[in-house]
Amino acid sequence: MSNVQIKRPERWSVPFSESMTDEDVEHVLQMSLFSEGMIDPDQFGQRISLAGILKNDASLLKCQEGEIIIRKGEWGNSAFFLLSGSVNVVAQHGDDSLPAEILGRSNVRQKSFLDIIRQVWNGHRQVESRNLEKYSSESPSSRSTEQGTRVYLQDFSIALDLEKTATINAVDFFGEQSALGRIERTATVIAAGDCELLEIRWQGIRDMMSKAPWLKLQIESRFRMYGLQRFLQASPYFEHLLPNEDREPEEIERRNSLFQNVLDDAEFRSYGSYDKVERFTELVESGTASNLVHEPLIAKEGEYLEGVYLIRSGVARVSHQAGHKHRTVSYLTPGQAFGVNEMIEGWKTGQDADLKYSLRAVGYVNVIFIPIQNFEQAVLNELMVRDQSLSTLPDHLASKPDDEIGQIDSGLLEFLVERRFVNGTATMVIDLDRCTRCDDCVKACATTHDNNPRFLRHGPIYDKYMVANACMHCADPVCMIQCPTGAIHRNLHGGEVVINDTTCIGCSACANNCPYDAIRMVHIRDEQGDLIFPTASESDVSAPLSLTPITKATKCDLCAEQITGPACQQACPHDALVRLNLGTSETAAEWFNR
Amino acid sequence: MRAFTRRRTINIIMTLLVALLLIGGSWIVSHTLVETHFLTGWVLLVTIVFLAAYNLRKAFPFLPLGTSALWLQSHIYAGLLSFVLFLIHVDYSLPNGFLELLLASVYLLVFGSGLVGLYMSRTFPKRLIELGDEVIFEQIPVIRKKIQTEVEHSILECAQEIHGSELPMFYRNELYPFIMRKPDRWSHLVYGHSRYWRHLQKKLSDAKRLSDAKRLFDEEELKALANVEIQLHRKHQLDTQETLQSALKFWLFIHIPATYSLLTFTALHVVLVQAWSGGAL
Repeated sequence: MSNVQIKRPERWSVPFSESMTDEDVEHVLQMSLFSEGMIDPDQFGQRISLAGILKNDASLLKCQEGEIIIRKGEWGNSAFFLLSGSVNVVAQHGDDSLPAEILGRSNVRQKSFLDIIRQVWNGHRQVESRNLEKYSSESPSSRSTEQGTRVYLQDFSIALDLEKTATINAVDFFGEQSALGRIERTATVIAAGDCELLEIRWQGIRDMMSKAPWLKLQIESRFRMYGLQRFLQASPYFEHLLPNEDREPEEIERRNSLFQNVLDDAEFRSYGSYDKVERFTELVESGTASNLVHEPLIAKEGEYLEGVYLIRSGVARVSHQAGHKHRTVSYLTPGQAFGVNEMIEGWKTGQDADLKYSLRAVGYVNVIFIPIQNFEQAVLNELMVRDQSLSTLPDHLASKPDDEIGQIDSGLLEFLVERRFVNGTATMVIDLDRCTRCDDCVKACATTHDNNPRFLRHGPIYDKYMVANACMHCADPVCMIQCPTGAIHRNLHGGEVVINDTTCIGCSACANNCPYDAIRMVHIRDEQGDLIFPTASESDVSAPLSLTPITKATKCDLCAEQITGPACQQACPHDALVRLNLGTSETAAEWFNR
Repeated sequence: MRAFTRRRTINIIMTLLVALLLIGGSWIVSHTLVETHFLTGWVLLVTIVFLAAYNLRKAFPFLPLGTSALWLQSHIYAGLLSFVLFLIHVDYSLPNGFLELLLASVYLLVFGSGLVGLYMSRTFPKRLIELGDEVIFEQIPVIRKKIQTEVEHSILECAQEIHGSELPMFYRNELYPFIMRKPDRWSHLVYGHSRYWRHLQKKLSDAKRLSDAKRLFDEEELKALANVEIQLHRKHQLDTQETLQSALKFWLFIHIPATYSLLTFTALHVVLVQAWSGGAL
């Protein structure tokens, strides 16, 4: 047993910001947002009080003109309440967006070459050994470090073309869409002058939404309004409707009007459950996962086509009825559309079209539904009538024709969709036909992670392919949903799902939520290899020791710090192991059919 | 053409071309005043050092030195070319000195074990898949023990239910030796099954035949025996797994130490040749 004693970490034992004081909380509670009934402190209980949320899940920021608050493209887990002053929002695409250099973006935080060399002799000899200094309360939190390195936009007024920005004035909020929707930031936000902001991590927003109906309503309506607009603007189907300086003003106006029509009539639909993780592994084990009754039907084969379905988040299964059974023919991931081919066919023949396939939600899926008349008017008429050179939609817009859908063996496709491996952006797939079981991948992983392998070369097998128990860095990471401290998060640079070892309280929420058994809880040890036990009392460090040692969640971090990328893939001598993005069946097919 | 087939075809063609160049080049050089053995010897040494460096690269997976797969491809084809260089270096004949003969033998051991390893790494994975369950090598003893426990549990349960059952005796005399038996490695390696397994199957089949004639086991005992037979089949497959996985791991215990021996003897060879070759140079 280690002589070192540290406190057992709990919810709020590692606050979002060390600098948030009781005076700050009092100050914030006096603000109109909280004092005028929009968010009523009396609605909150004793256990999770509003003051508690503000103290532990929030951070009070005082910003100056030109200070960058959010960068477009980042993965963020927090939202901002603008308490005073105003901010500018820059959401332009492509060349109009602010250059990366001017935003003060640093390079991906990979180790330097010297750090890499140092790894050769710097590793711990003990399993799961930790440097305990980082857990001491005196050490600065990563949050305060981040505040210390806040980036300013140089020559603010020159750099920022004010005509291309929107202004948000106090009291208002922003950033909630990426925080709650688990998607990347869609705009850059810069302080327009001196302003005061309350940054709240999403766990705090979630708790506030459950007690403040006004906030819930506001967030939900904005989620639909702004989220929809940005999603459609980013969709290749509506690219031709976006403002273009080369066009005549009348033409721009006409296209704007078409886009507005789509925006007005488009519907935001959700299928599946957000907060509740369905234990589909139980369905797989009981052999009932493939009968599809557990997957909410989005569109049914044979029914009249009412519009196009654009996947906004999650994964949807495309299936075809063969006799009494449904055969999976493909799956759709964010940005992909369902029903386009049928619509083109019906539009050409002038007859009503029926759906050739069914679409079902695999887990939690957000869909944008565009009614048939809007899609015909805004997409088919524009691209195929006005532009006479096109007899059909460009390849990247049309759905794959039937004969191209079955690129992956149908059994393998069923396996990947049924077990939801298609959610993975870096799924570890091993070709057992080539794997010599040398374990070079495991050894490389251990060497790169201080002698602790972060995956098991074991997992479900279909034919000759094994999907190993390694974090897949899911497109929709359910492991992040219930983390009380936000320790598991998206890497701001590469988007990998990583765990902050310092703020992890070892509650196992992420490990329990991960349906792929990719997160392991480990007992940490000191330099001598002794287990570390917390004190029984927070106030008295000399109180008797608790009997349960400190645990931490560990998982594959895709070697985000390494300059070589995932060590497992690099170390496989036989090209048997790959970290595969199963985001689209086409990219996966390329590897499976190699 | 599949990606691997295309890669293999290109690599083989390139290797053959380089081999022809080496043979042709050495033939031309042999007709000049340049000492061919020195030239081929140094090229062979550089090749061997490069081949040995692969093991070193594996120890540092985080260094940006290229993928292990790329190294292995280079290792395989450079290894094949080293044999051509070796043949040229020894004048396509056996060396006559003791050290040279020893050096050549060690080289051939390294080269031969490399070829065997290449063959195994390309064929054994397919055989392992056909065995069904994927087994982690280190867990094999645990699984074997579980199988033994399950078999014994079935036998004891049957013996408790049927007074005077012949099954425990049959287990002790015929099945237990197989359960405790270590894998018949050579048989598993070459034939994919052991001779003892065939012998056991014959015994089981005889027992069933006798039972059909009401001379050995009754229906309940046969049911228990059927469960036991499933476990025995698992044990047999586990033996094959262990043998194939052992072979895939342990050929390196010949290849790598032999490589270090080769490097040591080569260093000695270089020193001696350099020290005693004043006249030739």
